Amino acid sequence: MSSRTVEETRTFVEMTARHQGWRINDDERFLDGLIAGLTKNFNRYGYYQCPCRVSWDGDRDKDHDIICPCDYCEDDLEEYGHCLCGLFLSSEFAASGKPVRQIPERRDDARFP
Amino acid sequence: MFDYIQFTLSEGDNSAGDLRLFTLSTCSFCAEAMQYLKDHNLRFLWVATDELPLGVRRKLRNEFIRIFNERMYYPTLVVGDHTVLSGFEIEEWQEELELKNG
Repeated sequence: MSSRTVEETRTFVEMTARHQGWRINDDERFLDGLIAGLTKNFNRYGYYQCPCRVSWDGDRDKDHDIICPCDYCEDDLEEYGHCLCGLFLSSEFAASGKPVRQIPERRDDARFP
Repeated sequence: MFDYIQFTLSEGDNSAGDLRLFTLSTCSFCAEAMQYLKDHNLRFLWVATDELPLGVRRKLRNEFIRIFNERMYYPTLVVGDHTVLSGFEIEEWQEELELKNG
């Protein structure tokens, strides 16, 4: 199974944000934690499983909607200004200077292990 | 309750009752929650559920729903046997744990 370094994951996050027109959380410690978490998930599951949700331990089909960026990210940015993890932010939210907070889970509970 | 889970004890001089923290090792809100309890020098038990075997994690999920009638978010703090704090909201945790400073 291939693996990723923290630097590679950071590049992935930056490229995703650029491609989608999103911003990245500028709280360094918070961001570093999420990048480390994504890296850990890639290296144990083989994909960038959302670091804030439990996984089916490498069952990509069951986890497909919560592979970063998750299927719920866009709606969360629209409604709350940031994704569930507080990794990706809308431009408006980033400009507000507000800290990220925990937001409700959109994913149906039946989809979790 | 949760007697099949091997928790880790985080020592502290202060007590706010029996505290059990459920975290993911990969989540920054979880790291903030754990740091918050440590900053207040609280004694608590914690577990990173993503590091548990899938079967144990599923058992925990089902038991949690059966006992508390709600799903588990991360982080979750169980205070005593009845109170659940879902997600790390400083004001809520401060009030429930009767902490003077957020």
